[in-house]
Amino acid sequence: VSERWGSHLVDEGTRFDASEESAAALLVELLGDAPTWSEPSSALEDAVVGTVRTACARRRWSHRLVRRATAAATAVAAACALVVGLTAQHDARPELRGRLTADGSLPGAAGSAEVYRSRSGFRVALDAKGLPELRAGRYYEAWLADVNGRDRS
Amino acid sequence: VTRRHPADSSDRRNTIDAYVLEGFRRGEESAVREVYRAYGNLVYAVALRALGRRELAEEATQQTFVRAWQAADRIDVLRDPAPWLATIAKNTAIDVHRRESRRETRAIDSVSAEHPALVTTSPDLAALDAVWQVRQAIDALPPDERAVVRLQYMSGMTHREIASTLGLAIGTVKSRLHRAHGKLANLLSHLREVVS
Repeated sequence: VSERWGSHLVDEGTRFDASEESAAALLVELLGDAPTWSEPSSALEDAVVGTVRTACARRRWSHRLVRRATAAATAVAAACALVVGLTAQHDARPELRGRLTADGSLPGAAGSAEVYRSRSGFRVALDAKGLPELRAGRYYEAWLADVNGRDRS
Repeated sequence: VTRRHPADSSDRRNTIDAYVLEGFRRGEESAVREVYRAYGNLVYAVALRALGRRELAEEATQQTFVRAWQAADRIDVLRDPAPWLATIAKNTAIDVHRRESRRETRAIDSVSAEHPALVTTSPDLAALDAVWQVRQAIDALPPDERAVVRLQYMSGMTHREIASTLGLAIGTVKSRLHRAHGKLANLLSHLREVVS
C-alpha cells in the first residue's frame, strides 16, 4: 500500500481501491491545507509554559489550602478533645474525700474514701490498709450515710 | 536552557523520554518546554484545522497542554504520549469550537451568505486525526524535502516553478520530491485506517 501511495503522490494515474483512494485524497488535501503547515507564533511556547505554571501554582495553593484546613480541623479536634478531657478530669475530682478510722473490732485498720459523682450516680473509691485478707468469694462492703446516720446506699 | 522554537528546528522530533514526562507531571518548566517543542506544532495544526482562527488555535493549544498536565498522573511514562496528547488536542479543539458556535455575534441578516462564520459544522474527527499524522510525517522529513513538498502542495507550484523558486535544477526537485513522497507514503500508510 505504501508503495502505491507513493506512486499516487507522484503519478495520479495509479488506480486504488475505494479506501486507498479516500485516504490518498485526504492526504493530498491535507498537504495542500494551510493549517497542516502552520506554525504557531513564537510567543506560544512561553504562553503554554506560563499557563501550565499558573495551573501548577493553583494546584499547589489548593493542596496547601487543603493541608491547612486539615491541620486546622485537627487542631480544633485536639482542642475539643482537650476540653472534653479537662471536663472529664473536672468530673473526675472527688465530690467527697474522707479519712477512715477503724472501730474497736479492727483497731489497726485505716484508710481513705473518695466519692465521685458520675452520670449514673456515685462511685466510691476505698483505699484501706490493715484489713485482713478475705477468703475467696467474700467482699468488704461500703455504706454511705448522711450526717444523721441514715443510710443512703 | 537554550530556547529553540520548533519552527526553527531542523531535527524536529516527536518523541519524549520517560524522564521528561516525569518532569512534565511535576510541572517543571524545562520539561513542559520540551514536551511543547516535541508536540506543539502538531497540537496547533489540529487546533487550527478545527477552529480556523489563529487566536483560537493558540488558546486551544494552551488548554491542551494544561489538560495534559492535569491528566499526566494517569499516563504511563514509558509509552509514547503522542496518541494520548492527540486525543486531548482534538477534544480541546472541539470544546473551543462548541463554545464559539454558541457565542452570539451579530444578526445573521447582516452577514453575507458566503461568510465562513455561517458554516457551523463540527470538525471532522477523522480529519483531525489525519492532520496530526500528516503533520508528524511532514516534520519528520529533512528540511530540503519538506520545502519542495510544501511548494508543490501548499503553493501549487510545478516542478519548474519550484526549481526556480529554490534555485535548484529541475532534476534535483524531482528527486527530492520522489524521496519525500516515498517517505510520506511509508509514514502515512496507517492513514488508510483512519479514513476507513
